[in-house]
Order: sequence, then structure tokens, then C-alpha cells
Amino acid sequence: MFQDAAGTIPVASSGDPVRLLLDKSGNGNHVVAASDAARPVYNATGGRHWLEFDGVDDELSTATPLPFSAQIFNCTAFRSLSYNASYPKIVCNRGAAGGDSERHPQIFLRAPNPDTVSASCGSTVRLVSVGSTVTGLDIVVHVLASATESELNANGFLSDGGGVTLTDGSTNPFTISGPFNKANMRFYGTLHVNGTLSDAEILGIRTHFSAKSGGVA
Amino acid sequence: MTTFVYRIALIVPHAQRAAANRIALAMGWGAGCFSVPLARDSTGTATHWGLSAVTTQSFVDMLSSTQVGAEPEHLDPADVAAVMPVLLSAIGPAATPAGAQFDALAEGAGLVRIFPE
Repeated sequence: MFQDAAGTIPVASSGDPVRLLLDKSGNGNHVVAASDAARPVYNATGGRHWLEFDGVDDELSTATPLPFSAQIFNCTAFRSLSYNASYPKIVCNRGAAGGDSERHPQIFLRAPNPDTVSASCGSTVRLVSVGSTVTGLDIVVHVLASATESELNANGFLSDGGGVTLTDGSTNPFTISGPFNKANMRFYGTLHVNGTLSDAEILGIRTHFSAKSGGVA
Repeated sequence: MTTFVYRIALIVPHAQRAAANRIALAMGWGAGCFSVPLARDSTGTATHWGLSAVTTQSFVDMLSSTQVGAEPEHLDPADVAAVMPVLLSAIGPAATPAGAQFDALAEGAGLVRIFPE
């Protein structure tokens, strides 16, 4: 993590802003804030580490769209702190036109349904209740979609069903907290895979993010 | 220990947005810092633009001195002259809830955030 876009000033202390967050996968899909005003803030306490997004203008995005795949998996760990927008976006890989079939997923919250986590995936919007308001709750959420299945799981609460057809056509980057409707949240991390995973692999990923966040595997 | 000990909210009218962004760029903050659209109602056309950020004592000192007429050497005096008289600002500790701080500053000017979708 770095305070500047060039990656010359490391994030050294809790409270430092983060302009550049490097992709640990080796694929070079680093995310960067468009300006210093858009930087989230690194925080750490109790053995946990997160980026705090202000819900006003903080946003991290890849420089270019991720390679397209009709099979996707995303697992993200976060804690919503407040609703600064009606539909705050946690992560978004949606198409530029917001088309229902383009890319995805888009994981978001709904202020009118404050106990729910939602995900747009293909032409399907999946929604699950986590049993209480999401504000202040650590959540591990995963979304998967392919031609044969689609699924949203937030802290073990599941919505699943048939397959979806995803298409390319997007020029939008992968974005954390945006675009538009920024999320005021603790962001613990995200893993995006162009492909499908086995149940054992998914459980392993969820367990990893649970340990990082306190959300339910 | 971090030097980013303040949370600031800044808002400028649309007419001064370009100058405000040039000032931010000259300070090394990058382009397009004033990115949050505001208007009298949430469905209107943006009349003002804002930002929220954590910042340092040196920035707060510079902002304070500029508000009373100082002209930092690395900033365009014309941009400073255009922006400072109309700049709305709020400064608090870094732990200040950003959204509440920003919305209170906007509300004081009769403004609300516009959410495009």
C-alpha cells in the first residue's frame, strides 16, 4: 500500500491514506485512487487491518477493465459504517452502461432494506437478509455466476438459482466503493476470479476472509 | 504515527471548480479532486462541487493563512483569488465521520449531494 499513485511513499501507520493498493495475485490489477481526495484510510486494531472508505468520494479502481469472463467469482469482506447513499456499492465490476447482462458482479447495500446484502449478476439481482441491520456488522460475501448457476452468500445466508448469461461490452474498471453511491465502510479485502471454484475452494477463501474480518465463513 | 490528523470537507461553486481543481493539482493532490456534485435538491444539476479527505497540520495551516490573504508561492494567485472568497470548509479531527461533516457543511449552504444512480 502506498500513499501516492507512483508507489513511492509507503503506508506506514494507522491513519495514513492509501492512493495505491497492489494486487497480490500477480496479475497486475492494482487499484488506485483518482486523486488524494479519493484516498481511503488504512486502519489497524485488534489484529485486524482494513481500509476505511468515507462514503463521500473515496474510491479505488483498476486502471483498465478486468479481462472478461462469462464465469465469475468474487469474495469480499467488509463492514458497512453508515448509509451515505441509498444504494452504496461495495465492489463493482459492472458494465459501463449499467447493462443487466454485462460482466458483474456488483455487490451493494440497500438503505430501504437495511438488513440485506445484494448483488447484481447478469439479469438477476440476488438479495439476502443477514438477520439484522448490516451497519456495524462484519460480512463475508461471495458471488458466483456462470451459465449453469448463480449464488450470493453473505455470512452464510444464501440466495442461489439458475445460470446467467454475462456479456462483455464494458469499458469500466473494477471498482471498490463506486462508481457513484460510495460506501462508508471498512474494507478488509476482495478476491475476484474469472472462473468457477469448487465448494472446498470457496470455503477456504471464505474462511480466510472470515479470519481477516470477523465475518462468518 | 500518522501525520494525517484532520478530516476536511471543502465545497466550491461550479464556476470556481476548475480553479479549485488546479490549486489541488498544484499541491500534488492529483486531478479532479472536487468530484462530489451538489445542488439545491438531489435531482438537480450540480451548482457546487466538494471533496472530503484526511489531511495534515501543514495543509490546515496553509488553508488558514490563505484565507487571511497569504499567497502560497506554488499556487496561481489568480486561482487563489477566485476560490478563497467562496470556499466553504469544515475541519475536524481525523476520526470525524466524513459523511456527516460533509453533509453538514453542504446543508449550511442549502445544498445536498446528487446521486447519479
